[in-house]
Amino acid sequence: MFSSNARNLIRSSLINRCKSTLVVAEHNNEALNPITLNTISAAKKIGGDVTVLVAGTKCGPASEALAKVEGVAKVLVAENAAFKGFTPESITPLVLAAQSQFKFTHILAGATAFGKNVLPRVASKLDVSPISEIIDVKSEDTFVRTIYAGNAILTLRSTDPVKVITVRGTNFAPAAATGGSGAVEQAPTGDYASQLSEFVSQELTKSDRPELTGAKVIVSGGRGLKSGDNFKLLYDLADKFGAAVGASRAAVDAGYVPNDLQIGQTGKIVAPELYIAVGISGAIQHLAGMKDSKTIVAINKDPEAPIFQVADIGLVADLFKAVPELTGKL
Amino acid sequence: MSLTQVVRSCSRFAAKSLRVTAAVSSTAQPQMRLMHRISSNSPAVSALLNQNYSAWQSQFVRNYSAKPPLTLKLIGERVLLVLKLYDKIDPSKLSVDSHFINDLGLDSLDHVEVIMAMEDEFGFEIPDSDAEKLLKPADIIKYVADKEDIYD
Amino acid sequence: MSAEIRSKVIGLYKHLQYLGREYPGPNGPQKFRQQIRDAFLKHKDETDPKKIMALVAHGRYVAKEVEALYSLKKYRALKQRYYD
Repeated sequence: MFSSNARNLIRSSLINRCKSTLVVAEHNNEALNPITLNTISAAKKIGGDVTVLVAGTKCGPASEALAKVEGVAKVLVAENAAFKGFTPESITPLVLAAQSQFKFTHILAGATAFGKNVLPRVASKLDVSPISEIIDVKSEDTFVRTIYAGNAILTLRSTDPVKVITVRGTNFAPAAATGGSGAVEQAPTGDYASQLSEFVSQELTKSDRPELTGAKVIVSGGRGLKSGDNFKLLYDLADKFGAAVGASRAAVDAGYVPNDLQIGQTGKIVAPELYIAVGISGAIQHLAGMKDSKTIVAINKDPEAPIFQVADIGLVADLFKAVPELTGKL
Repeated sequence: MSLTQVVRSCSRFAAKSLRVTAAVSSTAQPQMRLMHRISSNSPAVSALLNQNYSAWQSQFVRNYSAKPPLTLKLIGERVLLVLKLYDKIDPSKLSVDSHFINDLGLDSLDHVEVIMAMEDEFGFEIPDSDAEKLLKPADIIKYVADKEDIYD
Repeated sequence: MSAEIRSKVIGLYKHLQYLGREYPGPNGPQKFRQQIRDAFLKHKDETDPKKIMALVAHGRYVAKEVEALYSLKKYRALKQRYYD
């Protein structure tokens, strides 16, 4: 018993010795993705040094932007053709090499398609359990996340030696983008070309609309729109606001819109200032995705629709008349 | 009629409000104690006072630790009262022996709702296997009396 | 209709009725009660056990939706109290 206490003491002192966090930055070779700033502020909340890793085929813009972010101590740059496409099979050995060199205690990334792609592989290689989509940091080993589609909040304490975490960007304020002076260094080099998978191509839906997860105003349509063409009404309305367009699960399943517009339990979680729900009956999996909106407006033909119980402002009208009228008045 | 029976008859008059007064009287205020003493002396005045209390203390407190003392007659009155309050039942046709489905014209869903109302009134659950046998108010009265161990 | 299916259906009806007592809206509980009653009466001549169980599953889905509606309503009410 005495020896096990001593072992615990040594182990805990090893862990407490130096908290240092690695943030895996997300960028598209041209600009930094803003969720990295939210992840950095989560890293600052954990405490200790914050190091950011930028990996890609053209890291210049992202690493310059990151060196200026307040709170970043060091920026590790890894520019290599092997990182084309940001595949997890190529980025993971880089993260592991950085981990074995600098002995980070926490590895963070934003809970985006990139973060959720790469970090579980990192966690499995390190033989620890990844902690996904945290919404708060209580201490260096205690984190808060939501479960059951956001209906319950779980506080968990991890006893792993390295904590691999993805961060939900909307719950952390972005770190200030100026005022920092981080040192830019080369990340550990090595042959990162992976035989397991190769990036072939990607097609990004090009739009000048703001991205759904960060938008301040979202207009979203549901099954009441009846066809993909009718979504044009919403696009026109959104253009007036500079808003993003989303869709409920029913509309996505029916094929009216591609599924990157889906908001809800299996889609995106959003927290805009204004959320306009057009032709959505209020199936609850959808509402779980937007329940943090500041104001909810609902437009629906059916006055008994459950969404009117949840919306702050409701309009009972035929959406095919109401939406063009609204667009005209703005 | 003994004093305890007087008090019990007052409780039947306004069962819930007396519970409120009993709860209030337990908070050791001198006026309340005085009221209580008056109530045990003259039944008519006490009934009046209890009714005044129930007017402005309309919170109904349901205490499950001590139920009002039940008799067959009380159960019967409560069952018939609940049935009278049910909007699908015609009070003029209602009697202790009227069959729900044949005489009162209810359907099986109404029957389920009636059983739900009885569960709420008496405070215990009635399983489906027993519920489908309760087809007359008399059956319900007998069932409740069996469950509450009341033999008169 | 066998006894166990019957008891499942009746159990579902009771569950929905108890849920419906707090339905929001001006005439919420009465309207909800009537809607459930109509929905159940519409299918009262169903005899195929598989179809009945499918309908019961749909009823349970509706019950979950109503519970989620209540929790969401409370969430919004509380959230709005914290707005400045």
